[in-house]
Amino acid sequence: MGVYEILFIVGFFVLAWVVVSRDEGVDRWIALAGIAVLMFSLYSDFFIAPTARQGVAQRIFYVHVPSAWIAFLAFFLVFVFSIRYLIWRQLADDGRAYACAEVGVLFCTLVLVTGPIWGRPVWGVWWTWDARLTTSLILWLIYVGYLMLRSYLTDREQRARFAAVLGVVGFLDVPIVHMSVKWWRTLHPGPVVMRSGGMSELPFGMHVALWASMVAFTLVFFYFVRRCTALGRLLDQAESLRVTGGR
Amino acid sequence: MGYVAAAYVIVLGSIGLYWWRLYSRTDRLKAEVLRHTADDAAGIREQ
Repeated sequence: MGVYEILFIVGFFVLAWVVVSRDEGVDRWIALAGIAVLMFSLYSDFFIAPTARQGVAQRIFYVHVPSAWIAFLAFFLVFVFSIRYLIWRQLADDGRAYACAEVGVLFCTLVLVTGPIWGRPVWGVWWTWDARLTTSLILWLIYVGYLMLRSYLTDREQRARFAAVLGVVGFLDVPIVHMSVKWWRTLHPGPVVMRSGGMSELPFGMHVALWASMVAFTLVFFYFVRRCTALGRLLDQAESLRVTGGR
Repeated sequence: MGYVAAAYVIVLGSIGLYWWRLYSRTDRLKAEVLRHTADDAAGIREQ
């Protein structure tokens, strides 16, 4: 076992100690699994995956693509919980939609930051108004607008209703972002992981690193959403106590 | 390699900061709820 392997194992135990001392129940297990897979994915990004034709810049692929996947998943869940809220008017669904939107905006921001960092060495430009990049920026603006709308409205029911409508309408951009590389001629490459005829011809090492990152980011996402939903409930409790003065 | 390091630092740093923010906000709100609950209990005792 080399120095790097030892560093990854030590990293896991340090983060696991933080989780064990702070989290309980399902949250604890999701976080521990997330940290373990994240450590393995980081190891595989740098020591298992080949760098293919783009040199070391290729490694940005393993954080850029999973971030995009999480942003899409998060906004899909915002769409689902928003529809549920509009039908059944349960504030718990609104709380879940809000948690998914907040975490989705975080990962969508990471897509928009890592994309230019990858684009500069590979394309020679930080940014271009290409269809995929532009629709992704619009997607980010829609969900930042969703969070801003929520922060401006003080009435709980009105906030939930308006946000749910935006959560449903805003999701229309997700399929446009996904299909943009097929509908328009873009600088951004087309699908490289899943093609219409089946799996792509990526080398095995790249599949290992990519799918490890996908699983790690998904676990981290669900952990964040659960924590954020719990935080929302606590915030509601604190707000009601402030209104009643603790009574 | 600088671009790769920047991307990983930003991604992992953002995840770590968001995690820390969730913990710190939860702690602050829990303390606030406990304080209000304690004030409430003290008020009931005074009555």
